[in-house]
Amino acid sequence: MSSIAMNKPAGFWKKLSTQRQLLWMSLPIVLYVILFTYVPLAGWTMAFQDFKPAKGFASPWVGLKWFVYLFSDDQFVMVMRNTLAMSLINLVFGFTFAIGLALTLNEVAAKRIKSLAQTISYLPHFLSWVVVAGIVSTMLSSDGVFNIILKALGIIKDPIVWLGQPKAFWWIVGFTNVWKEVGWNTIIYLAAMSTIDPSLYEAAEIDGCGRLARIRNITLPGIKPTIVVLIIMNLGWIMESGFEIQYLLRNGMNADYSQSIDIYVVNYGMRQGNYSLATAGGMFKSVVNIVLLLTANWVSGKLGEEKLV
Amino acid sequence: MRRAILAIASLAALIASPLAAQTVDKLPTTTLPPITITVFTVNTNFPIPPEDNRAYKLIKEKLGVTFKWDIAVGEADQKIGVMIAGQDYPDLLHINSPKFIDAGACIPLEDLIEKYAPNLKKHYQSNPVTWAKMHEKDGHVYCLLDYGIPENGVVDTEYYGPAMFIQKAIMKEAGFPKITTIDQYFDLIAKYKAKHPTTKDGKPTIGFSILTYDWHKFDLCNPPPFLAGYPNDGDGIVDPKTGKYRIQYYGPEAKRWYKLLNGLNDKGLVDRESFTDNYDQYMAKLANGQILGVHDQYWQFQDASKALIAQNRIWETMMPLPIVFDKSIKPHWRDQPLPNLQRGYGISIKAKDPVRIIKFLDAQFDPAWYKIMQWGVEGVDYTYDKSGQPFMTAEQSNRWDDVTWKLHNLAELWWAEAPKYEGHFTKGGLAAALRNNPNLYLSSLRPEDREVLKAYGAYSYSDLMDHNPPVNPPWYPAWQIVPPDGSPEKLAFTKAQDTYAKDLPKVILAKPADFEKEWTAYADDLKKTNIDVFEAYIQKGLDDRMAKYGKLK
Repeated sequence: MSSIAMNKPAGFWKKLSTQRQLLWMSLPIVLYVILFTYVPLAGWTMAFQDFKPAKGFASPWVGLKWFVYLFSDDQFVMVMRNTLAMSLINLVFGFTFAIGLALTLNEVAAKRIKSLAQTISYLPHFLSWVVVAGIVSTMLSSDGVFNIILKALGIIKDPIVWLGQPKAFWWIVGFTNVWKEVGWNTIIYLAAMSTIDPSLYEAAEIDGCGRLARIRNITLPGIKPTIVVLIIMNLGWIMESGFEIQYLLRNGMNADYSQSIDIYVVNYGMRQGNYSLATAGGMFKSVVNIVLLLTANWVSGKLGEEKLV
Repeated sequence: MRRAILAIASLAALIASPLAAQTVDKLPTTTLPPITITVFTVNTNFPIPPEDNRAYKLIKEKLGVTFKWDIAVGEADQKIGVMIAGQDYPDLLHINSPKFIDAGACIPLEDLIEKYAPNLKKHYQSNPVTWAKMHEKDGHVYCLLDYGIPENGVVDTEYYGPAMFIQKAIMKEAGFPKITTIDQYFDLIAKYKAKHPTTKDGKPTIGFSILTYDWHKFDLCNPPPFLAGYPNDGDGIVDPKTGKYRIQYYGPEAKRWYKLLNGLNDKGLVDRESFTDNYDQYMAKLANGQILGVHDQYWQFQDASKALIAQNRIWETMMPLPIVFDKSIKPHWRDQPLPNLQRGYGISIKAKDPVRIIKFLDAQFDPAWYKIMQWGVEGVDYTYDKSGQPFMTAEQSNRWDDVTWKLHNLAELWWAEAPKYEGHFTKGGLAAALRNNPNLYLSSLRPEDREVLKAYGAYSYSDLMDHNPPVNPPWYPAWQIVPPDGSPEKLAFTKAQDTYAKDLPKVILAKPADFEKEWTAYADDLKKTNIDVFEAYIQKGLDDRMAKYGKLK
């Protein structure tokens, strides 16, 4: 009895000492996470103060003043709507287009064409948003390609200034994101598909399965765990609709639809020297993200699917 | 090739050196013990000068001062925050925001100036209102202003300020008419556009464009007060009789201007893409010579003009015009230089020998030193012609495009923020800025510009805007009064700016029949932003200034 009880901690220490190389290797990463993600959390206190840089932590405490301000500001409600809308569009487009492209590529028999298509589709991922925004605004200008094509097809008579159409803004952001990221996002699905046992396909073929039936019954179930994990992770980013593209493409005319929480925080927080408001906005975003992530994870577990944590 | 140039250059130096040695010998010197002055600057336009820099070597030799530089790269505010938190300051601080002063990092200078710095005293007290404004709320002077105190008459050649700009080609084609009203202005543009629907390289011409991108959006709201004959008070108008301030965004002048733009848009004269273009797209259109007319401040699109000049398309560059609503209004576009308050060097509380430092600051404030730091050495970099005016050969003049030459020979990093002459060194004497001296300026003019200026009997484009800009009233300008960061006033102001950026495009692009409806909606949106709070804040600031410096003039 006692020898077993004695054994347990000894086992732990023994394990610890046998794995010490691994521990040493993970130490820098752990320190990195502590330093750059946990330590800055102390700055959240600013959200409950009238923070002035000269006074620092000694600034007066004001409780929930800035949160009350945020939620009574019409503009904040508007930017939240925009953020959620653009984020949902990105989420839905991101998954459907990436999975669709991955399935298509997987069915291409010629290896060279497959890798060529893959390379071309993921190259835009490496472009900076500044460049992408430049391309998009040139294409959408009144003498840009988009208007020329629509005119040639007889759909419109006079060119439309697309970036001046407030309601088009979300979709412009959505499709730009698809163009930039779709190739990159397929990589993980293609990797998951390559782990599916080829004998399953052979068996299905012998049983008389067509191409679509094989996709539905073998490929999709094969990558389902990957999809579920990615959905859970992406729900943790639902309050992040991106910053650069909205910041670079916004203008007075589309302001009601292009301002996201991040832009609001920059304009009314940082640029005004109102760090408390900026922190309150950022903190709200993080809290919503964490709640969504944990909920999705919990739901997924209840449904008997993959869990992240 | 390179060797040949070097040989010529050293030959020239050899020939010139006896003369140069003479002028250098005449420089004022000091008997004070040598000192090293540490300087913090947020000016990132110039690198740290090399050891063999001619100007700094002379300063060390004759005035006994060696500089040790600390240039704030990256986030200047962050660096300043760290310095303040640690109370860790060099001798001299480059002040460019209220931060150092508010943090008590600087020592009061008024007694030092009074006792040890006769030159600086004369300069800063040349205008009593400026001297009064240099005193902070606690009654002390902390900052030696770097710019904005011209003495012995203003000289301005190139015009960098706000104006209604028009392509020079339009004025030439119309036979250089003298126009003053906005209707005449757009009439010329409309006729020219009808005759020239495209530029030479086939791009469509654009009647009138507006820069609206990000913080540049002030161009969208600035024209109405100017057109109504008010000076540049920015977002508001100060009644010259009563001193009452009001936001001008939705005043009667504004309504008149936007109604005009609305009608012009209906005729296809307004660039609809103005409201979606970013700064680069705007500059590209100007650099292509597409835009025929624009309201802007020249410093904002100077680079576009440079691109046209490089292609020798001078007629497609812009010229400024002092346009107003109608003939009864006297234009007030050009104003006199403004003291650059809270910008310049301040002596820190950690400086070991403030008296020695102020004595040096006073000694370097001397025409001879000004020239060494900014013009170069006489006989090497410039000579005087028979009329006593500075003169440069083409080769000497071209050196000014050579960054390396400037880095090795001028004291730009120090000079940029140093107290310095502006205007003229003496009454009727030489202009402080080298190229503002008439002979050099006139010889640098291009034939096309000479033709334009001759047609209007003007000396320069500044002269064309206003030969004699009126003296600024003591409270001017209202835009220098800024509510503190994070205050409700600042917040209301930001919201009002966002509102006009959002609503004015709708007002301009509406069908003329809908103008009234859109205008009312805009005015209602503005009222919702609480802009009265901002208005009241500026009014209080103006009232304080008027109480202190005298009412209206």
